[in-house]
Amino acid sequence: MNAPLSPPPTESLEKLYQNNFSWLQNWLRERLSCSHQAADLAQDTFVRLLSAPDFHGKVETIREPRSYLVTVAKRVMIDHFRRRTIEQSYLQALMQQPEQEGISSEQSLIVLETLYRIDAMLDGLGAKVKRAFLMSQLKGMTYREIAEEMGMSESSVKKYMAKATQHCLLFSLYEQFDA
Amino acid sequence: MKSAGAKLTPQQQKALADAAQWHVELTAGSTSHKTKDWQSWLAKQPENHWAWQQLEKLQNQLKQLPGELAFKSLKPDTEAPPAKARRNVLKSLAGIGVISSSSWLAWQYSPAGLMLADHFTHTGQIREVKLADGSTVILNSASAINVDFSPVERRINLQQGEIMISTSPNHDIRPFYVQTRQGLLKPLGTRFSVQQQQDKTVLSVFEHQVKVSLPDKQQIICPAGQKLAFTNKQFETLTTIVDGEDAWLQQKLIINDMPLSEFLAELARYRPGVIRVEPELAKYHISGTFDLTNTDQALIAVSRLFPVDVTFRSRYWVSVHPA
Repeated sequence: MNAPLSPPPTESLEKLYQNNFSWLQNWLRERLSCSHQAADLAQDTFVRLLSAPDFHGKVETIREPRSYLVTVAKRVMIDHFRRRTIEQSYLQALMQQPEQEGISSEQSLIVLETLYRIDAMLDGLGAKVKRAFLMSQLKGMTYREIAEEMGMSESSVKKYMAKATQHCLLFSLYEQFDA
Repeated sequence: MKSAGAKLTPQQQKALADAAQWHVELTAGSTSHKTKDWQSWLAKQPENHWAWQQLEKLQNQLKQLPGELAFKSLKPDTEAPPAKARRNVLKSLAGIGVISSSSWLAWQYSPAGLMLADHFTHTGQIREVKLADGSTVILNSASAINVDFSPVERRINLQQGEIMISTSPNHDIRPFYVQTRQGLLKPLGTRFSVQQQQDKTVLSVFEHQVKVSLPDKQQIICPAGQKLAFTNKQFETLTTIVDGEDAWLQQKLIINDMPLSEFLAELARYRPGVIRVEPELAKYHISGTFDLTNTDQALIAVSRLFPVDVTFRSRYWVSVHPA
């Protein structure tokens, strides 16, 4: 891609922020055509930079700060759209629900937050592993039912389940360490 | 996951793996014998107890969710293989605007795909981009390209939509390529347009020639004045370009005797939202010049020309049906 023109290499995070925040915000605004969202995502981009392990050691070595920011901002955008995809399928599923099972908007917010978390948690697992795990944990299907539905042996389903469960446990702990 | 691993002792890691295994075994069906074994595992060392607590926390979180609803929201049924996780996100995003009922015309529009590209246009926009070698690319509505110029070649990746390329008259010895999802185009001249459709690429050559290669090395040369559609497996027959095919450059749509349903699909490319069309509208044919900066007007014209009703349910949802 065409490397954006950057000011000279940054010495500190403060400088990085000062020299590039509004530039990044413009870059995002051009893509999102919504200035509020652009401001939010620009902020999120810097937050993500800060929380990257070992960022402070690296800040002085960034040679092309704007290319670097764009790379991180793209990841932030992907996550943002990923959340929006979940939100849309959630709303779609909600509309198909019988009315007596109505969910308050407050409850919806909590459910959505949990869904984003689970989605992130299961990212990186294979599609089949993920599917088996969710069929068991969310639909309450037995391993035999899952095996039949997915056309595989029950022992494979058990292997998938163990793998997914272990992965989720590690993910939750990783989050705690991070916080 | 690595940094979590680094902070966990080997005993803790083993305990977590065991806890996961026990959870699976007990869910599969518990016998008194199994339960006893599990209890003695639990009591064996504090790490095991700790690991089981972690598991219970996770279980509680999952239990709070309305199961069916949560399952549908996460759509695990539609997930593609995991190898290209990032791409999957983009793919599922591409699906947002596309509703599976056959009569919905929403132009293949992927907001994330667009926004991550080097150059892009929003729906209804047309934009000209000058490349470093002096070539120009004009992007039609809702289009996106990545530009990859290296010391050995100049390459444009058409992510989506349609572009018109005029290669530079300067003598740049690096070969110029346009990559689509179906094939690789090598212009042997100056002016051509490329459109990325869902399962095929449509190439129109206005000056000189363009050589097209498919993944299996099949090649064909498309001469000026000709149009070629191809999938990643085969070329369709060459057809002659009709007048007005590049009218989009002037933000106009010029058509001659086109089925109404096809015309509406074409209009949908330049409008945010969806146009819902009843299939029987294919029996009407339309000709004329339409202003792409005002597609509402084109829709109103349709309702005057044919016995059809055009209902604007909202700015983003228009329905066209027999009167």
